[in-house]
Amino acid sequence: MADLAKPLPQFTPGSEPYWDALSNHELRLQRCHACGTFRFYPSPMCHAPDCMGLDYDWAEVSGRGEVYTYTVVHRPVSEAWVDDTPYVIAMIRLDEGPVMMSNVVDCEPADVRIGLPVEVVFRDLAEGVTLPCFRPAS
Amino acid sequence: MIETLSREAAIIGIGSTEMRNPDGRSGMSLYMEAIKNAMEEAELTKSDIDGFLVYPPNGSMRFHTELTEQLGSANFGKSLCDFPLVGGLMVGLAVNKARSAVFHDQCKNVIVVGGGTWRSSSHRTPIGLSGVDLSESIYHSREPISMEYEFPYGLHLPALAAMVTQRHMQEFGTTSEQLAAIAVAARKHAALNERALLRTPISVDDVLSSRMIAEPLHLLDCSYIADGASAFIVTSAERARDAVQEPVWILGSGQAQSFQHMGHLCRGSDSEFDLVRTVGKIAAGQAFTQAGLGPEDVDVAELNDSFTTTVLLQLEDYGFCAKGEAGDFVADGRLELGGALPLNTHGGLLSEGDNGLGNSIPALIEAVTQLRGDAGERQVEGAEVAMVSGVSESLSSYSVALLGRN
Repeated sequence: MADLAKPLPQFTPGSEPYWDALSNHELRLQRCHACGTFRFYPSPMCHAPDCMGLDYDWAEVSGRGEVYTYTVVHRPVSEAWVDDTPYVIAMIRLDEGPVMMSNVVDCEPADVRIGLPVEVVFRDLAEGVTLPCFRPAS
Repeated sequence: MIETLSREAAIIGIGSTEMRNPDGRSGMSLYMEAIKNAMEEAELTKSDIDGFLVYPPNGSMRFHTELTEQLGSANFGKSLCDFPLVGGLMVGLAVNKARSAVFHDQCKNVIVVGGGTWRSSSHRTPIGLSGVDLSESIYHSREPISMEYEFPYGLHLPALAAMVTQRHMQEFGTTSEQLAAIAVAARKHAALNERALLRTPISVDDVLSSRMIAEPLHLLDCSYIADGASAFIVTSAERARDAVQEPVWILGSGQAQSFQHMGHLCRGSDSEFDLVRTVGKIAAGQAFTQAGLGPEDVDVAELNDSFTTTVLLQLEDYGFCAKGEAGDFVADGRLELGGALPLNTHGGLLSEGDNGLGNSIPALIEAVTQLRGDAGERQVEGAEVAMVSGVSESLSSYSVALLGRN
């Protein structure tokens, strides 16, 4: 049944600090040294319109945000997700600004709506691999 | 005749295969059949073709030399071989590049070819999750999906489009019934197109009662996966005057890119571009400016319909209606033959079939057919200007071409 395992995220050069922090159950994003803007997805250059900063640190964020948009998936991407179906994929706008894709968990899919306040919850997938998911804010 | 700024190049040949591939032929085999059909129609020989813009069906970066081997025996002097590797948005880019090559005498005749074996090469899962009528491949296409930050959440292409749709519904009150009208029109047209794979008429209720894939998109809101290839030939204005077929003129083209990761377009309404305000506006604006035309001049529109939502966004961003009003615009048969803006008169990706890479070429083939007046039962009477578009699978990047009758 090895086929039914969900594929683990494929790490890319430069993103190790993101995944290392997650395995310690911390959500850390790049923050530009020049202008202080947080960004996601991890990338070499600051995303701010007027900044070309290349230097950054990995700063912890609140893990709080809201649902920008979402879908309830009824036809899973592969058999590995059958037990989770229906599942919610959402774009989460963090309080710090960046938007990340995630799952909204620990609630009924029908309760998810645009604007729903959410908070991060950490799902350990394997040794050293943790996925940030979100649940309705307490 | 319409007044326009730009008549530098023309399309003088089109060719296609069927949209099915029961014998499991290779992508190369399908490509050569489409190319042969286009060359024969234009009465061109191997030595007349000196440019290729191709989407390698096998993913090979050597595909241009493989192609040259087959068409080069009379003349290996091919002076343009390039890969417009921009996914669903290929058509406008290819038109633009081919037009430039023939205008600047880099080439005499450029062939653009695309397509593939999306259905026959799809990965089928043992427990048949897809139901009976939709191949697996639309769920397995990983091209626009980040394997690090998106796929681990169970993302597939319909889910991406569904999130865009949800946002459109939230902001503008768009309904599933309105989206369904787009699929109904496509199917009505497919019934008049022998090449189309899905030809049985459907109703709005049929769309709404088809299986939910990713809310709010149903099975019939999603394109129908197919195999096949299509090709067209572009030549200069001077050569076009001597062409065997009635030339169809390239009046304008444009393209614009935006996100790879969709989080970048999850912005507030204060931003010019976001998930539901696309850069298609730029692509269409460039094409209209070059042509000296506007949306009101378009007689027939062959627009990418990877999902019903894809059409909805384009109608607004290309200027056929105001932002947020496409839901109302598509009602009352406006997109159907006889309506104010006949759209996807061949059935589109929703009903003719979606052959994957280069899937925007069949729309161009249909536009040329309409402008030649060769569309038979589905002919738009008096069609002089057609719009063709290609859109990336993630609905983030757009290309547009405007074509005109001789």
